[in-house]
Amino acid sequence: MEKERKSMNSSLLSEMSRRSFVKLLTAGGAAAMLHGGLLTPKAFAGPAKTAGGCKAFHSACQRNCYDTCAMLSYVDDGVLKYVEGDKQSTFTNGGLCVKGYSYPRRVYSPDRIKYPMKQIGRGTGNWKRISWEEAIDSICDKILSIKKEDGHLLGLALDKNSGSEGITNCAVIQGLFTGLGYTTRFEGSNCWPAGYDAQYFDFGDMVCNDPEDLANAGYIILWGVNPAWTSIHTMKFIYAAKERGAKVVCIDPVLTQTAAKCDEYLAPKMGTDGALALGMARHILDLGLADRGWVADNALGFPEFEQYLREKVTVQWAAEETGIPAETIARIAEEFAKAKPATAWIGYGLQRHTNGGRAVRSIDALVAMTGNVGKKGGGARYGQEFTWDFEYWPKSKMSPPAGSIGFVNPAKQKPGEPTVYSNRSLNRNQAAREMRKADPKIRMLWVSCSNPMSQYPNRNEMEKMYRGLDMLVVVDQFFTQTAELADIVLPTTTQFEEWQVNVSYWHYWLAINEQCIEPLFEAKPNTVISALVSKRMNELSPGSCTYQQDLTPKECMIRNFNDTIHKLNGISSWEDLLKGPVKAKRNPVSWAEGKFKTPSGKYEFLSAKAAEYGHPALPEYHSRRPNHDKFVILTPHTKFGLHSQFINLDWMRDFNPEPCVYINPNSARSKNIVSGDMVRVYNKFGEVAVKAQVTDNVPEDTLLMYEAWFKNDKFNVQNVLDDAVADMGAYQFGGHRGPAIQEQFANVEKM
Amino acid sequence: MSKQLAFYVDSQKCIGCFSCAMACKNMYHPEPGVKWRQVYPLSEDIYPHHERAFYSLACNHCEHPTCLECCPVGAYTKREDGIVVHDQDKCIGCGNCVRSCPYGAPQYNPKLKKAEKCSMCWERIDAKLEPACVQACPVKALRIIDLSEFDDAEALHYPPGFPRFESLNPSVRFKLPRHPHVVRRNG
Amino acid sequence: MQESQHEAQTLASLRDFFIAQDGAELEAAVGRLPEDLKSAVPAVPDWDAAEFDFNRFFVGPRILAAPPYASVYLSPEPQVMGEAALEARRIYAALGLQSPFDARLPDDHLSLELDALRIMQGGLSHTPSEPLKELRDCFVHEHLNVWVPLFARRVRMVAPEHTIIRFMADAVERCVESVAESKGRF
Repeated sequence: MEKERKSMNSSLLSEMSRRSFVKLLTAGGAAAMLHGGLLTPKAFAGPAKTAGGCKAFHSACQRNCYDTCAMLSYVDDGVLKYVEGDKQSTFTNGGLCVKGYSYPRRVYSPDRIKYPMKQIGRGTGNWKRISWEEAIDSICDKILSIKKEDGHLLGLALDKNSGSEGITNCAVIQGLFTGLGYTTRFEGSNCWPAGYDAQYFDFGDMVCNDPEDLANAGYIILWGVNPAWTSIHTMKFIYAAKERGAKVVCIDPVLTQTAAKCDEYLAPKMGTDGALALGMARHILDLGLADRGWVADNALGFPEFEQYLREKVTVQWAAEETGIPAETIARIAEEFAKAKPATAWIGYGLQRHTNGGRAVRSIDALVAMTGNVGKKGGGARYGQEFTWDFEYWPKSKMSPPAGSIGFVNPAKQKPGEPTVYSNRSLNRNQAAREMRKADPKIRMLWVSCSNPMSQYPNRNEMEKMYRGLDMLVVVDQFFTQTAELADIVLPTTTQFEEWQVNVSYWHYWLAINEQCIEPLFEAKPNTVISALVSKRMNELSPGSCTYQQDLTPKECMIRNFNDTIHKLNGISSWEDLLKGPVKAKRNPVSWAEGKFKTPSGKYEFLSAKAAEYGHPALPEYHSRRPNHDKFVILTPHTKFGLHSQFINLDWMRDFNPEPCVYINPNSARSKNIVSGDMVRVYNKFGEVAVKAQVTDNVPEDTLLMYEAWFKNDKFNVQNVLDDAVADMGAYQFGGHRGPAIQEQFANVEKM
Repeated sequence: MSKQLAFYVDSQKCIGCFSCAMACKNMYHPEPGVKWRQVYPLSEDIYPHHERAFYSLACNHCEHPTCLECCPVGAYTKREDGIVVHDQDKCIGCGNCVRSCPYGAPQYNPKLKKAEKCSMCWERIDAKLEPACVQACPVKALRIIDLSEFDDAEALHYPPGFPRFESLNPSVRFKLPRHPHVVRRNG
Repeated sequence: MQESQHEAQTLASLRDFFIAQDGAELEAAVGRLPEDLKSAVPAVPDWDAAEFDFNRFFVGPRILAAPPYASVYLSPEPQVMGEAALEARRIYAALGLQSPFDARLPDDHLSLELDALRIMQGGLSHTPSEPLKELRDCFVHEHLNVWVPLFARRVRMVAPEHTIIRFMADAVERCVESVAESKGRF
């Protein structure tokens, strides 16, 4: 079906028998022409395949996304022709998204990194092509020299992030580093830590109802979440609820695409979601609409929460704090409490705040006190990880070489006991700050599935730190802003060139990703890259790496399966997935039995665990940090990209040609800016030059730019973001609080 | 009336996600810059919120297609089901259709020096599959209807922002977007 | 030197140049040009610098200034592994040959195509054969001589100064053109 330039006379090609040519070339002595040439005699493989008749393979989108689509990839003659959604998944139902449909372009983009290369002079743009052997050699030499000079490997750091969510990619690179010894790891998450902790304090775990169950809701609050852009396949379930009479409300400082599709849209001030939830909770108490039966049976600390609300919270106070009129707060609260079931979907933006964890706890409390926890069509939905119980092989099974020296945690080291070594863990949300104060110094950094220069705050500081490294290794598919600073870049495969298995942190489906084409150029999967390093390390210094050396990517994938996964999904082996994706055999309603995983076994309005981590035991309100500049600046996702992925593709540029900053008409007028003007968005950390778009989708005190990496473009929202952290995250993320990247400030002026 | 397949564009459901437009590229790989289907935001005098409501448009497979009428080499045919198919092998790149279609459906491919446009994935239709764009729509805002059987009093033929060319009789029907009740902030 | 020998030597040198992996290989490839062409080669003071330049144009890791793949110029969209790569693959197969790189390197890489041309020309100079001639003409007129001029033009656009890169891109354009024009020879 592909429309192409009129092909050459292919009948001419087919009518020529291969033999007559070979005979001709040999008979004429032309075989001598092959000597020293590139082309080699072809093994006879029967008649050439004709065009048409693609073979379909199961694929899974590897991106860090709610929807994690089950895909079908159509391959002809070894070439990926087009992709589709897999209709066997009732969640994606045969669809992908604007990004997913651009995959053929991503695989075959002329811009892909093709060969291992080394840069002569950081950031000079002078690159030499090197062999894999040479690349791995220089990496291993450097690792060994660090070990020799320092006596340990804490100078070697890994930043492996969510650029690929395939299960082997969640395990092999970390496994390699464990196999090398005790190293430094950038950990924590740029994503959801504050809200994740909040749900752990409240429920003892983070589990959401099946998103397909949204169709059963009688009332839906989409709280700081924009599924019309970031989870498009969930929209149909929200529509289904609407068609059955549910009311859908969107709460967001920005009039998003989701807001435009809802019945009602509330625009609170940035960072005041907790106050809004508590104001609603207070009004529900006053109306006598709290579900006292449910809280008596299932919750701990409701009386204390009630007392806090009565003493500290009024609807009027919430109105002043949020900017939402008191009567609206009261009305929405009453509607929510009376609709059975009612649910709130809590987005990841509203918890990327200095008070974000508390905001999530407040919304959880609102859902719980109205008796909507553990109900079909109810719940405080944030995400789930029960579908992720894989082996994480070999990461989970590795130990460092005997005698490795590592980090000693003074808090955990008891006097007189033998020294306990561990990795040194640094918070990636403050990467620049952590690198600056790191002692021993970080000398070598390996970046995989990550583009810190486009995604981490305080970019100018980050770049200084990166420039100070002895060696930076970047493994990627494209030449990102991070790769610009690398000493060595290694080309890695897309999902079409490797085996993977994928699950979502939202829906309940499991999908296999078959390799359907050969890796292009010299790209290698991370499984193979890790094994190459291990092999070479042991050649240079026997016993210096315990990581496996000989398993294929497919074997690594297979080893991630276990009885838990088999049982949960009702499969007997991974091979069952070759028939199509499967859904976890689990009650679509989380907490239906009322057995919570908190210390008390109940839903905890009052959490001793929260207090233990330095938070109020109740979900009390706490104002966000004060502005340090004139405007609030928001930098959420664009629908045309997944963090810094996809936006660089030319197919995408047809629909999303350039970045812009959105500015409210009143602010634009005061700054003498009209749509199309080039403006400078700036603060004490840096600046971004970008085109202005004037719209009242953003409030007067707010500027909005979408995070993105455009090819050949310096645009980078991280120039103006600082590394403030959220209140929570330390509980479940090894002491690393989440980012406060949606609580940022800047000014703007016409250029 | 005889069978006439048409696109039904439900702007009330449409979330402007561009999946339809990219699914078309994924299937046919047109030259960058050439878009058979495009998602057009409605201007703010039609829908008050900037870039929040859309019409997803491609070829309208008109009852009286000007492309077919003005093509000197018969590269266009109208099938019995009403789909207007462009045969690029016959096209000589004269540009008549590109200039004459008031909806801008035929696009000029500067590389091939020929015209091209949406042919409603007729091969997929013949194989009982949905067109790529329709299958891609996550909220069923884009559908195929048969105008000879279609009976929806609410559907619009010429909604605001969609040019009215009655002599062509474009085979497309629309549903208008709704507005949310908006509660702005005080202060 | 005989015309056909001159041509074969030029093709081999160009082939080795465009698939070189480092400065030394670039230098060696240029060294294998026939004398008359070699005498016109611009001075290369620093082969390391030439290598950086070469990678900027043809290898990476940055966005390529002039990707050396037919698909980028012949397909309706500038991609690799497009229809043109499969065409090249079918032509090699018709000769009983295949790329040593399997699918890792798209079959329409300039150097592979130059090698195929060299082999066809060699075959024809030994044993004139109608089907082989037909295949060669089809390959040159409908494929090589369509995209190589576009490729060379792209190099000239990015590198107006007369460097070794520019010289070799011009040379490959002239060489393919002269094969296309010398239909009568064999």
